[in-house]
Order: sequence, then C-alpha cells, then structure tokens
Amino acid sequence: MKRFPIDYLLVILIVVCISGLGFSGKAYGNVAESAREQLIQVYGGVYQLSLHDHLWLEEIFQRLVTSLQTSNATYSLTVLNSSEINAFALPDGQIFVTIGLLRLFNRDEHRTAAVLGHEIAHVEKGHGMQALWRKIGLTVLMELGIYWLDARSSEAARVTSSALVEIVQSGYSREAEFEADLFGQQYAMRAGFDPVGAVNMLADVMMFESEELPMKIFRTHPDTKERMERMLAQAYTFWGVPVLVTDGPIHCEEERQNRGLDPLGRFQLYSEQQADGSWTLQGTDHQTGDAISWLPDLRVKDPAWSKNGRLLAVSVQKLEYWEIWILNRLGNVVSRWAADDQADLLHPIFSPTGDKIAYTKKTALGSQVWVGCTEEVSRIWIARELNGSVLWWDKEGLVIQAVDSPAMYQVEPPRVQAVAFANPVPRIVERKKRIAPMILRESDSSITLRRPNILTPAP
Amino acid sequence: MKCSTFARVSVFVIIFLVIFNFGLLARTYHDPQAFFSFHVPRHWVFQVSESDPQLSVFYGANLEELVYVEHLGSVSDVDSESFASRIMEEYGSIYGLKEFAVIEPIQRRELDGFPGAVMIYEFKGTITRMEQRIFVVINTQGYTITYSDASCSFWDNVVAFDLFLDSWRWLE
Repeated sequence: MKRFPIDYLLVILIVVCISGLGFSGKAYGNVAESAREQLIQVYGGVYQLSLHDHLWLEEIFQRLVTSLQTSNATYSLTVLNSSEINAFALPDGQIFVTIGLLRLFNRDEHRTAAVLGHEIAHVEKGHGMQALWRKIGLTVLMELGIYWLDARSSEAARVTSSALVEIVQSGYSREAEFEADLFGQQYAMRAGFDPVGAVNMLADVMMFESEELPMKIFRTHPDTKERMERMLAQAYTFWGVPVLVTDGPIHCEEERQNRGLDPLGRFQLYSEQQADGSWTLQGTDHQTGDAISWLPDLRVKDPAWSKNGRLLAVSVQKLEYWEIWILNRLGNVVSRWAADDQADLLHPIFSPTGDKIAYTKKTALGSQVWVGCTEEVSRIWIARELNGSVLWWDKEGLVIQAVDSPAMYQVEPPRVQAVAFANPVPRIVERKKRIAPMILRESDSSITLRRPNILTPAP
Repeated sequence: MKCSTFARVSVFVIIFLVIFNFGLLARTYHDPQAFFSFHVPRHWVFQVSESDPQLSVFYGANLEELVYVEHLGSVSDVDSESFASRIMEEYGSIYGLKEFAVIEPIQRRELDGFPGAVMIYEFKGTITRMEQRIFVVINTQGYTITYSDASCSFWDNVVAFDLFLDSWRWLE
C-alpha cells in the first residue's frame, strides 16, 4: 500500500494544532470549512433573509463583535434554513443561528443579542477547542491512528470536522455553558443591549421546554432556572453604584401625586387613606365625568401611570402583604407581582421608556430597591448597598431615598441603545390583500354573498 | 324678484365654493412630524394600520397601486443622487430585492424647490412590481416618496403620482 508521509504530517499537525499548541493555517481551515459545509447541509442550507432583516441582524452582530476589546477570531454569521430553534459556534468564529430561533424572538434585539453573545463567548473562551481536544482524546485519535496506517489528509480533516460538528450540535460542558452565559451577557451589555434580555430569553426557553417544539438550543445545557438565577445575579452589577445626590430632605409629595395623572389626560387617580387606616383607589374619568371604581373592595395605593399612558401600576394589599398589580387603560389587571418571601412590594414607578418598573421591597430586615421588566419575568435587586425606597425615575437615573437618613442617592441604569442604522434603507411596502365577500350571480334575479374560503392548516 | 334670485344663486355659489374648498382642505395630508404636506387625490385612501410616524401609506383605486412616503431620519449621503445610488446598490445586492432591475436610471427632479432624484425599478415581491421612487435629502434628513403598482399596470396608472408630487409642500 502506498504511503503519503505528507498526509501523516498533516494529521499530526491537525492534532497538535487543535490541542492549542500552535494551531493555525490551512489545516484548520479545511476542518472549519468541512464543518461549515456539514452544518449547512444538516440544517437545510443557508436562509436568505430579507434586506431589512439582514441589516438588522448584522447591526446587532457587528455591535457585539466590535464590543470585544481583543479577539483573535474572525467572526461571521450565517442563518440556517431550519425551523429548529438552535444556534452554535465553530471555534474559528463562525456563528450559526436558525431561522426558527430568529422567528421565536420576533425581532427582539435584546434576546437576539443574548444568544449571539452566548455563542461569541464560546469562541472567545475556547470552549470548542477544549471540547474537541477531549473528544479527540476519546475517539478521534483512534480513527486518526487508523489513518496513520493508511491516511489521506482530506479524510483526516473530515473526521476532525465531523467531531467538531457533533460537539457544537450537542453543546458544551456545564461549566462552559455557565461561563458563556455570563460573558455573553457582558458582551451584550457592553454593546448597548439590555442585559436582562438574556434572562428573558431563558424564560422563553423555560416556557417552551415542556412543549414538544423543535428546540435543541439548550438540550444539553444546565438547568435553565439555575442559569436564569446566575444571570439575574450578575445583571445587578450592570447598574451603577448609588451616588449621593443630596444630604437634605426633598419634598416630592407633589411629584408622587402627579403619578396618578393619566399622561393622555383622561383619568385622574389618587389613593386616599380611610378612617380605619386602609387605602382606597379613587379618581375621575374626565371623558365620562364618572368617578372611577377600579379595584373596589381592595386596599390600593401608589397609583403610577407609564409615560405613554398604556399601563397603570398600583400597590394592592392581598391578605397580609402588599403586591404590585399592573392594569391596562381600562382598569383590567394584566399582571400581579408578589414577593416570593414575606415582604411588601410598594411605590411602583415606571422607567422613562415604560419597559421597567422600580419598586420598594419591604422586609423585616429593611427596604430594598428592585427593578422588574413590565412584560417579562425578570426582577433585579439593585443598589444593594442601600437600605432605601424608590422616590422617582428620571432620564438620568433612579432616585432612591435612604430609609435611615434624609440622604438621597441616584443609580444609573445600564445604557441601552436601540438598533439604529447610520445609513438607513427605505422600506418596501406592498399592498395588503383585503378579504371581502365574493358576489356570485346565481341567476338573473338573485345574487348571493359568500365568505371566501379560508384554509386553516391541519393540526 | 330678480335681486332675490341673484342673491339665492350667490348663496348657492358661495356654499358650493365653501364646501368645495373645505373638501380640498380635508384631503390635504399633513405629516405627523410636520415636515411636509400634500393633497391626496380622489379615490386614494390613507391606510392607518399600515402607517407609523415615519411611514405614510395610501392605497389607490386600482388593485395593486399604492403611494408611500417614508422619513428615514438622518442619512450620511451628501445629496439626493448619492442617496438614490446607495439605496439602489442595497436593493440590487445579494440581500436585496428579488429579480431587481432598474427600468429608468436616476434622474434629477425637484420637489417643491428642493433637488431630488427619481428612478423607476422593478422587483419580485408577492407579485412583480414596478416602483417610481423619489429620493430627497434636506439638512441630512432622508425622505423617499414612492409610487408602486403591479408591473403590468404601472405605466397606465403612474400618472396619478404627479397629483401627489405637484401638490407637495415642505413645511418649515
């Protein structure tokens, strides 16, 4: 049998290189290219995004890549034509996401940045190479040994790339996933995305985990709840440290009362303390002139409207403890926040953008300041250094009153920057079809209107 | 009696003129951000559900025709022609519009005294469409005004676009 010493040398080079001793050049290039081809083949080919979706995704990806201070990898992003919910990274910086994943996030930039940041962290931390080395130690070396006897370089590359594909598809070790979570969240935050996007993304995963969806992204990942807790614990560090604003007392009673004024001018709400010490929600609907009777028979206080007038937050006493309830403009309760432990949730106030609510959590040990996402499950205990309660929230930050002194502090939230294009591209608008009844002439004397047949997909 | 008839006719004429003029005023569209206004021709309907603060969409009487105006905000293009060229490059790129083809290249066209660039192109959306689009850059702000229709009926109907453009006014 004819031997190819150069082929053997290449095999050795691949092994040496992927063990981290000096990997570079064409050898890995072949492996990566082969792995890329296999992934694209397995996942139904490359999905061609529309122009605006492509620009949007590239903007997020480039912001993340730019936020890496130093990186040896050359990053690229490919969208795969698969409804499976998945994302993975090759060690050289090739990131893949499925169209199923992008559809699940429905153009939520913070969730998308969280997933991309997680995959970038795998590359930056060398998880792929570490896993590949372990894998090679177990199986691939055996195969390479066979090729040592009769090898071709292309086959060696194929074997290595197959191992690589298997690794990126099945996920990394528990420690590697935790590390990618935390660093991915940091990258997203540095790139101007909301760090709680990662937590909300995991909440989505948890919601769908019980359902039989083609979701393999976190198939082998650690327990989702534990990951959420770790990321929430890290999220508070992205808030600034409390900065002393003033030592003296500030009278903000008027500002507190104004929170009950509907920004759209229709409703005026306030809470009034009754003779028995309880609180009730009172107010007027200026459109009808009627008194408002929302949440009757409940003890309610601290009404605060969101800046766009879409939502109202109030503190409601249920049994022994106070909860925060969020109502829509019609006075219907859309969500209720209660403390897991024995505590009162008080003084809700919306962020200027309306997507978050700050509130005071009063426990037997003192007062804590928390921030929750209005339409998500994430709640973060911020300003942990302070025993304080929420006063107000302006563009510069959240103002907190220290409980045991008249001093006031301000805490700066993480800087979130919406996706914007330096050179925007105009939209393409197409005319939407309207479903209208069809007129069918049955005879000369009569006509019939019929509804069009609407096909519903089979279950 | 004659005087009375004259008075009645005069009243009718005045009422007619007032109604007619009010009708015209009611058909004037004002951009929500107060950057421009124009008259909306008869049989054209503003589409609330398709529009947003940056985009205003109008449907015409013909099955596929529409006019839409977009305020893109700040752009880095130095003038309307370079703005148009850049967008045509994007539309023609690999991620751009399917089966994109330029029908009439970029030409200059003024819009209420400001220089603009106009062109006609075709692409495959849900159907094959042809669009005439005007690009304008004023004080680094980019605007496009587009007439869109099915390719097969575009040339018959595109004359309606002039009704929009002739009445176009930039607001201070």
